[in-house]
Amino acid sequence: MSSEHSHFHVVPAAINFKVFLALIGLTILTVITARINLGGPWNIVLALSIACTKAILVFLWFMHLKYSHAINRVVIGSALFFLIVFLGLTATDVFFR
Amino acid sequence: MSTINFEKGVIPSHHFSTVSQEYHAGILGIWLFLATEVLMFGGLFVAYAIFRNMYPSVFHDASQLLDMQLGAMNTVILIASSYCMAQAVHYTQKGETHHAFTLILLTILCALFFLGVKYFEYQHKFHEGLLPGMNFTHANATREMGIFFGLYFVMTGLHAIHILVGIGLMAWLLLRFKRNEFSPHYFIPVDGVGLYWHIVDIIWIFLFPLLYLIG
Repeated sequence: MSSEHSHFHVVPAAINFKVFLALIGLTILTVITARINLGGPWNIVLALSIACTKAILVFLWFMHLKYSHAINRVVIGSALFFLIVFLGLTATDVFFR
Repeated sequence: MSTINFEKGVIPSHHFSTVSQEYHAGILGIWLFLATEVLMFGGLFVAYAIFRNMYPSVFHDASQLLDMQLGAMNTVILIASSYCMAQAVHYTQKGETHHAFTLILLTILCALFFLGVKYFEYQHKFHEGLLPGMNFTHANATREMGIFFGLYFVMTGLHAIHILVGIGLMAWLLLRFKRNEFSPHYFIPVDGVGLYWHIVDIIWIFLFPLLYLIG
């Protein structure tokens, strides 16, 4: 999007508003689905999926990652990658002991 | 899909060759800081995952003691504040700084409201004897429930400190807006504080279901 170095991208106000509405809608969805017992791990799986969707919306549009330099995506992506490594390796020890 | 051209005879700081280089370097610096924030909270989330896996029924019962409606209200407030902040950056980029000023003021009001709700929640929990330590005197208090509330207070407390810092940073932005220091050619501080504010929102997006909704 913004490969031209001398330009940056202005996210249109209409897109910001749509993202805001989507975030509110997903919050309502997560509160409603939390009241329904889905059985097994499915409640937490659904709640975290909704949370991840909301986080992606904020990252891409409110934080302009969709339009900014790839290096910014690499930086935050590496932090999230190592968080998954941290959680994953801990899980292999603690959860399957 | 409007874009703004940086180079219009605007002079960058002396250690940068162009204004856009200065902008992109500044924003990269913010993202590096946000990466460390993700890892700091990440440690707490991993601790949560371990203890939740060890004591699922205790976590289930303990989370029932939190007020889900207050948590949901605070979630909506933070999302609204994030939207105001995103719009503040939008208007600064377009040069309509008086709109940006109002929106940052609104963001601060949302943040104060969030902290107000958190204050009443904490006060209520202290009163019920749910603060781990000497005053952990709740009728159902167990060591395992202490772990849940220990995590609750540390995670939401660290998050609340971030809100406080954010309020300070936004007040600083308001002062600089008053001095007309921001324009479409220079707005790194607005963008940077905005990015910080959004990551604080993202952390709450995960804290809310994990602490309040695991019923």
